[in-house]
Amino acid sequence: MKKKLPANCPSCNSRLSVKSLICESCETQVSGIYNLPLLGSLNDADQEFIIDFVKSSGSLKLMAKQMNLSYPTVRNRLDEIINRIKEIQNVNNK
Amino acid sequence: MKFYNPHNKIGGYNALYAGLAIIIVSAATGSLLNIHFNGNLQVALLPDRGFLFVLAEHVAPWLVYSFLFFIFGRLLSKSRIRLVDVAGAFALARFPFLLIVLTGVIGGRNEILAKLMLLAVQQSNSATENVLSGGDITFIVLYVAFLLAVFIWFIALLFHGYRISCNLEGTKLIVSFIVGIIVSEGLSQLLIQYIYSH
Repeated sequence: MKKKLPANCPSCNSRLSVKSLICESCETQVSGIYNLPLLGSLNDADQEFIIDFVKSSGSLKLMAKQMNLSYPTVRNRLDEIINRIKEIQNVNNK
Repeated sequence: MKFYNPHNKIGGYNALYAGLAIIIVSAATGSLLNIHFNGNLQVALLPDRGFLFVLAEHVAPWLVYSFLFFIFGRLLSKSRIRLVDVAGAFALARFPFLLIVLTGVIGGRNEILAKLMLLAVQQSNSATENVLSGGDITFIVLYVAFLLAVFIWFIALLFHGYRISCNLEGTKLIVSFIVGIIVSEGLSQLLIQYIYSH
């Protein structure tokens, strides 16, 4: 079963932070308070879009062809993700 | 692909090429069947004035709409708008006009509509010629319903084309669309009148 890394608190919807990390090979644990990576705060669909964007060398035209969508639709999707990233950055900066 | 919103799947140059093909076929067929459009929201029967004239009647409003809504998109949208996306979407939106043109092959259609127009003109003279039969009236009612459905489809295609090519939503989208339709249609009429006079 594929687990999804939560980005927001299920109780109060605030941004979650990372408290501990573990090494699976030697079981070393690292504790502290770390911000979630910005890209990790996005949902799966947005993360997949960004990965596809990078793999397409930033070509929206190529992405549109691969996704079988029109160029404006893919551009609009990118603009939505840009807005979400800006929102996350604003919250992180507060 | 939804019939009222193909713009998610086809846009940009692909939509432009498909739309231009639709415009050319509509103009060619309309020229043969004496059906043309003096504006985006009006259809008329006229003696053949030639393919180029009918083509100009299709191209003029398409260009006016495309440029005006492109300007609206540049002013209102936060995205980078391309003219080819707007023009392509609006060219593709003209597909329903092809269906109207193709109704010209219906036998007796032109005669019934000509009778109706003549009756409307002669009403004040109380002429009794060219009275419409029951069948004529049924045809007219169905044809008007068909025209209405096609124009609504055209408006829906324009709306979604504008929404997606300019990435607009909410009040900005709706208000600018309504204003754009009114202004574009007015400008199109002026341009077509200019074409008529030359």
